[in-house]
Amino acid sequence: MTLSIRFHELSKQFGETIALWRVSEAIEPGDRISILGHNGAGKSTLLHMLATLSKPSSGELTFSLAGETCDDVKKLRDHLSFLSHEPMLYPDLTALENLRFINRLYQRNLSEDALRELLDKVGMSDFGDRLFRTCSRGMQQRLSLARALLPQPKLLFLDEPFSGLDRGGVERMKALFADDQMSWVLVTHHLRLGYELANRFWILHRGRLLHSLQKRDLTYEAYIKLCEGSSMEASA
Amino acid sequence: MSGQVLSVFSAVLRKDLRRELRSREIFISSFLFSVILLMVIFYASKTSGVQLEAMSSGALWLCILFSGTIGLNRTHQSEMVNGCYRALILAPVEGGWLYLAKVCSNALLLIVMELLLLPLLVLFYHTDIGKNSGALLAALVLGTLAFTAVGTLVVVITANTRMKDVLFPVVQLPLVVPTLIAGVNATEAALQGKTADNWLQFLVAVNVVFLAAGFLLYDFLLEE
Amino acid sequence: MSMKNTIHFVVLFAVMQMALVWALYIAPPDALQGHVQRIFYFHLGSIWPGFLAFFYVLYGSIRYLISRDLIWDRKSLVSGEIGLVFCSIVLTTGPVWAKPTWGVYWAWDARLTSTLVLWLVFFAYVNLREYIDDDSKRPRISAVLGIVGALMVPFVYMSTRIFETQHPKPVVMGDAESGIRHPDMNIALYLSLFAFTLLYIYLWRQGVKQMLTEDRLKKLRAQLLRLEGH
Repeated sequence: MTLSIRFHELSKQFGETIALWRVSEAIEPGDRISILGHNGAGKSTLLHMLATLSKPSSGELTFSLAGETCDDVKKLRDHLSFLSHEPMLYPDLTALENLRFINRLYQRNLSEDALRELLDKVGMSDFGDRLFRTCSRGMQQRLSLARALLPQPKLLFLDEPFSGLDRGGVERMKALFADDQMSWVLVTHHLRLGYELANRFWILHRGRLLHSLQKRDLTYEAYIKLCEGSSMEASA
Repeated sequence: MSGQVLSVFSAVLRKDLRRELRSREIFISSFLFSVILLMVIFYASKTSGVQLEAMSSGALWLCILFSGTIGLNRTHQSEMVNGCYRALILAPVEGGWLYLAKVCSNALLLIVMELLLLPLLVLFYHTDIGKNSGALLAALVLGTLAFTAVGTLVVVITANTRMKDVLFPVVQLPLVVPTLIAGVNATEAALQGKTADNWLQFLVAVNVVFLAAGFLLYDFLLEE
Repeated sequence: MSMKNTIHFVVLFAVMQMALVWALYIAPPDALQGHVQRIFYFHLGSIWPGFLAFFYVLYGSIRYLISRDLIWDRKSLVSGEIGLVFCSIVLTTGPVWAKPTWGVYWAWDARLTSTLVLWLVFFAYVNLREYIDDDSKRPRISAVLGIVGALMVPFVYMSTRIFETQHPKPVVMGDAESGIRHPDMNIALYLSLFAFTLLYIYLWRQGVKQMLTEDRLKKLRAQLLRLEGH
C-alpha cells in the first residue's frame, strides 16, 4: 500500500504570528525530503501538521492511501511514525517494556525475538532490561529510533533525530534510513547529513517555501550556498 | 475488532500500573498528603465541637478530593515527560479506549489509597467502618470513579494551557461538587450501618453520563 | 444599526419599562416579606437567561466540535460571557434579598450553592481560553470544557436538592414561590422574565457581531503586515 500527501496553500498561525504561509507541495512514495531553513522558518510546524499532530489554520492537506483519499486519521497514523529529539518513551519502564507497549498500541503482534532483533539493529541488544531513565542521552535516542521503526511505517517524520548520537549511532541511523521501503521527511541542522541522505530538498524561509529541488539538480556547493542564503548557521 | 480494543485498553492500563508500582511517586505523595490532611482537619474543626466519628466521612472525602487532584495532575505530568503523550496521540488508537484505560488506572490507584486510609480513620477518628462494609465500598468505588471520570478529562483540558498546575484544581474542584456531596452522604450512611440508595443511584448516573461523555470527547483532546 | 436590531431594541426597552412598573409599583408587596420581595422579579429574571446561556454553550460547543466552524465557538463564547454576567447578578441580588428575609447574607441553600458552582464553571469556561496560546487549539479545548461543564449543571442542582430533602429547612427561610399569589405578581414575573430573555438575545447578537468583526480585523491586519513584507 502506498501513502502520499499533497498540500495546497497550507498556513499556520499562532495568535498574530504566522508560522507558515501558503505552502504547497507533495510527498510521494520513495521521497526522502530534507527540510532546511534557519530557526523559526516553520520547519517543525510543517512537520507536525504532516504528521497529523496539529491542524493547519487554513489550506488543504490531503492524504492518500493506496491511491484513494483518506480522511480517517487513525488509519493514517497506522502508517506514520515520528522521531524527534524527545524520545517519547517512559522513564520508569525498561527498554523492552517500552517496545512491548508500542507493539501492542500499534497492534503489530511482533514476537519477543523480533523485538530483540530490533534492539540489535540500533545496537542496544545488551540493554533490553535496563530502565529507560538510566540510559544515557545517546542510548535513549537509539531506543527512540527502535520505537519509531517498530510499526514499520510507510512514512517517517524526523525532527533533529541525530541529537545526542555518537558517530556509531549516526552510522546506524544512516543505514536504516537508506531502506527503500520507507519514505521520510527530515528536519535537521546537520547540513552534510541532510544532503547525503535526501533525494529532495525544501528550503523554508520565514514561513514560506522558497525552493523545492531534486538532488540531481543540486551540487553540494550549490546546496550549501542556498542554505547560507537563507541565513542558516552551518553546523558540523 | 473487540479483541484489538481490549488489547489496547489492557496495554495502557498495565503500562500505567507498572509505572506507578515501580516509581510509587504518586502513591507515596498522595498517601502522605492524606495523612497530613486527616490531622489538619481534626485541628481545624476541633473548636466547633463536632464529634470525631461524625467528621470521618467528610474528612475521608476531603482526602480523596485533594490527594486525588494532586495524583491526577502528577500522572498526567509523568505522561508529558519525554513527550510520551505525543506518542499516544500519534498511535492509531481510538481515544475513547485510551480514556477508559486511564480512568481505570487512576481510579484503581485512588481506591487502593482509600482502603489504606480506612484503618487510619479507625485510629484517628474512632470510626466503626464495619457496620455496612458493602455499602461503604460501593460509595467509595462509585464516588472515586465519578471523580476520576471528570478529572481524567479536565487534566488534559488544562494541560493545554500555560498555567496547567494552577488551573487544574480551579477547574476540576467545582465540577466535582455533586460527586463530593453524594460521596459524603453515601459514606456517612454506610458508616451508620445504612444504605443510601438514592445517593448511590445518583453516583451511578454521574458515572454513566461522564464516562460516556469522556469516551466521545477524548479524541478531540488528542491533537496538539 | 440594522432595522432588525432597532426593532429588537425598541421592544426590549418597552418590555423592560413595563416590567419595572409592574414589579415596583403595580404588584402588591409580599404578605410576609413586604417590599423586599420585589427584588425576586429581577433575581429570578436573571437566573433564567443564565440557564439559557449555559444550555446554549452545550449546544454551540457540540456544533463546533462536529463542524469545526469558528462561528459556533464565537456564539458559545459570547453566550458564556453573558451567562457569567447574569450569574453574577443572581449572586449579588441573592444576598441583598437574603439579609432582610433570612437574617444572613448567605445560607448554604440548594439554590445558592448550585448558583455559586454554576458561576465557577462559567468563569472557568470563559477564562480558560486566555491561557491557551495556539489559536487553532483554543476553540476545541474550550468546547470540550463547555460540554463537560454544562453536563454537570443538572447534577449540581439534583445533588443540592436531594441534600436538602434529607435535612430540615432553616427556620428563617420563607419560601418565595409560595408568596406569588396575586395575579399582578404573576404578570410582573412574566414581564421581567420576558424582558431578561430579550436582553440576553440582544446582548448575544451584539456580542457575536463584535467578535466576528474583531476576527475580520485581525485577519486583515495580518494580510496587511504580509503585504508590507513584515
